[in-house]
Amino acid sequence: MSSHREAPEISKDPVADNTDTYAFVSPDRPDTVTIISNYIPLEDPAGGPNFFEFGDDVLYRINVDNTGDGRADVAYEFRFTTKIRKKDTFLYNTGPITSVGSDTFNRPQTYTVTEVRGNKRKVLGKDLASPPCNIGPRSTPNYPALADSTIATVGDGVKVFAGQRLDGFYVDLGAVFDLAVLRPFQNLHLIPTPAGEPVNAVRSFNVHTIAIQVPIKQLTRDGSVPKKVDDAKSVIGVWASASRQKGRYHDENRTWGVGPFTQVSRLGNPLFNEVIVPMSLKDKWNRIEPRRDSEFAKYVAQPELAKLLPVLYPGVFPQLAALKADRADLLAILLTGIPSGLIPGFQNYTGPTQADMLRLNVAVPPAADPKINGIIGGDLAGFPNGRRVYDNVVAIELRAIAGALYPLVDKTFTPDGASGLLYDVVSGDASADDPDSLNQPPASVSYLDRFPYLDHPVSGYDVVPLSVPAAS
Amino acid sequence: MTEWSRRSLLRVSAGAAVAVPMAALGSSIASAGTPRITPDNADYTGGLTADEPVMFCIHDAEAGEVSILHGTTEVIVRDRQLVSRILTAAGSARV
Repeated sequence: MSSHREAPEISKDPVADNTDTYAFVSPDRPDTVTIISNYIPLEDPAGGPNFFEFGDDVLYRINVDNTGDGRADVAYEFRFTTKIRKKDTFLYNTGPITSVGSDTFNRPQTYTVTEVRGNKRKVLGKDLASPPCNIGPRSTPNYPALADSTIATVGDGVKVFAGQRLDGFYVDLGAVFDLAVLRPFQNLHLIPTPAGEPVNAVRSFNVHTIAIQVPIKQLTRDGSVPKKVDDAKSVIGVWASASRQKGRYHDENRTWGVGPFTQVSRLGNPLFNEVIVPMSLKDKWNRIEPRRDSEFAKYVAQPELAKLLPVLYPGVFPQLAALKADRADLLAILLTGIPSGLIPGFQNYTGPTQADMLRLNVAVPPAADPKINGIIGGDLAGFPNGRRVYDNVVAIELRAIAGALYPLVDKTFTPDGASGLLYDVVSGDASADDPDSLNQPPASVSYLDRFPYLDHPVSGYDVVPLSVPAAS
Repeated sequence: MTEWSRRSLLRVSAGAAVAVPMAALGSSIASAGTPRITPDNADYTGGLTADEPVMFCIHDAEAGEVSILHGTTEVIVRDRQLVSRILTAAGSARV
């Protein structure tokens, strides 16, 4: 998945597990950037009575690098506090929750947002409410209004939201982890079966979202709002992280965190740690800052998946199989940004420091007609120019790893025909015969056209588990 | 149950001329990196909050280093005598 359960240690600590990070120029407030960081992978909406919540003992952080050194120049820290209103009941709610202040909401959670600039810390908002999980029509009637009431404006034009959302990421997990099967092309797999329809395995799962919308001038290095795409100041690097205190102590009454906070999870580009970093190094990757990512550059330059594709799909990727050179295309996309001159009208180069970050050129305006395949699909406002909630990052990265973008750095290279067609989950009527149909969001996911852009979570009452018989 | 408190740490280290001045060190020192204290350079006037636990970890007994966690700080104390006393108290062999 993008980063759901992507490393051994953090998969045991879902409350601190980054699942997706997004950064884009807000389509309805183009003088701002929206940054979203999701945590807690694959929340079963019916998972009560102790429904999902942020960790009081976790330091959640959204990081922005505007100088290209892989270090945060601006960061937003989120810390949560949970209360129990009625201590003598097992219930999450003792009646309908009609507002976050309802006495019936037995486990309210509030949070503090702190802006960090160098050594300066500024509390932007405190005691901000997080909505409850979406339980069902009796417990959380009119959930959209309940959740929307918690969107807060703090600081100078900054909006924040922290709470449960429908996961906007889409991928055919069951297939992709079954020896990298893409159902539409599985007839070509080493272990073939008839071609099938993709399944969005993340459909109807929720996540916990931290979203912040910040005026662009508060994120750029000189406080400007760049208008020229080729201006170095127009590019910011973004990643999110989670940290825990070094020590943890339990007694019969409580759990303590002790010592300094140390990073346990991070996420910039989707799938970086998941499919680039070897399993033995995934936990280390989660614990270090992006500025040290040159240690992992060799895995980007010679990605394991690029070697697997020709083996798993015999005869489909002969050009990729013959490509032995270091992948300068992937090194640029994932670790330094794309320099000027490769893609007309675009760059998101942050300098020579190799660091896994989303790189957003804020001078590229939001697209009037967005394409989910982003830059590969002819939409300069999409991934890998930052990442929007609906961008089809699985297809984009699959195509890139398969060599579809290698001609940007070597014009003598002819990509395999299949590299430009690869896709995973797409809209139901999409067809490889109609490339534009592969550029539309899948019907299995919905989004909002306003902050926080990820849709309201599905309720536990409304979800019907898949009725698939156990394999014999 | 072992009580990882300031009192127990100081009891173990009594006579070793080592105490733990985490609060006195302050966050500015901590933010510049993990402070390292040896018996020769330490100011042992502690200022710990009594109701918060202190945890310590010996991850390099050979070097005589103790990592002490309190609040949101970590202090590395280098004191072979202290390490020896802690290991003895824990039932392990002296280094």
